[in-house]
Amino acid sequence: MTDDATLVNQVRKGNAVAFRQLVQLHERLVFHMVGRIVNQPDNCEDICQEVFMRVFQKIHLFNFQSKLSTWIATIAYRTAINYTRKEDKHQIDPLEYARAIPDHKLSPLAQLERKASYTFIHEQIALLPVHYRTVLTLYHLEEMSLQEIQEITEMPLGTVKNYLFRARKLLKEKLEPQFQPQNS
Amino acid sequence: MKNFEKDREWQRRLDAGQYLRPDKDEPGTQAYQLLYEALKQEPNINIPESFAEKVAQQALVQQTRQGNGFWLLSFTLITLASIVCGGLLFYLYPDFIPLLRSQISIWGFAGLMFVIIQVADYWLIQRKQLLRFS
Repeated sequence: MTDDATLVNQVRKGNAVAFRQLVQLHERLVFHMVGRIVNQPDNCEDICQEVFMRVFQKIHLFNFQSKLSTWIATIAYRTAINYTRKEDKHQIDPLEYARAIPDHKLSPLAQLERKASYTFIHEQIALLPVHYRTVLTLYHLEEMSLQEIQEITEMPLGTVKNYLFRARKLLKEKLEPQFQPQNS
Repeated sequence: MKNFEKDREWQRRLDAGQYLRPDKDEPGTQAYQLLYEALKQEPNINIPESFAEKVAQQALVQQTRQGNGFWLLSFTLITLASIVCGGLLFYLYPDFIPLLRSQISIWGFAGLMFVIIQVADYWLIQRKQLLRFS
């Protein structure tokens, strides 16, 4: 296992094998984040590539104050957010989300018959506002702490907690109808 | 308000790794249980096998380009500095050019060696970086 310091020092010396290893170690994190934030599978690879090129260009600025993964996630977050700002038609605000999909009084069950429940949930996540998707991904999928998410997104801790709570509540409300007792 | 508090409590318990017992009267418990399981599932992402290799190659190309730029800039600056110094010497010491001419072979050899060392150093470093990739 190569630790962060050794890997970073090797990359700084221009060791391409070390850089390739760095990419391999963090590609899933970057793809998850970019994929969730950008919501465009066609552009995801190009943006991830851009993220790693920025990592390579700025590696001399990494000061070991945080984990390497947190630092890379910060770059991924900023790159992806900048991309979505350019393409702001993909931004949906939280209130729009509540209206964007019908409440699925019965249809979630119908949808679940066609697709796996997880697929349904991932589809719902894709419709959430970008900051909600980001905190959900970092917290649940990447298992980052709230402090790490705060560092990456530069949002106040209270906002991170609030977005996380609201995102899960919104998703729960989309799932709830399938667990409602049948009134017949 | 009551529902809001319930949501907060259920989320707090699930965050703490506790299991929410399914409650028929509270569909939210089952929904949350399913949601937390789903959130841990990796989304369907497609990372090309050669992605890391491709990015590393691109980084090398960028590094080489920067190296070329640095080399060109250095060469330009040295050339300009030489012209300015030569001009000043010629202006301040008119005997300099005849002196230079009398020892042209020594100056020529020194200049040639300087260029050879610089070129060799540059190509050897670049080659070393290329070999690190393969």
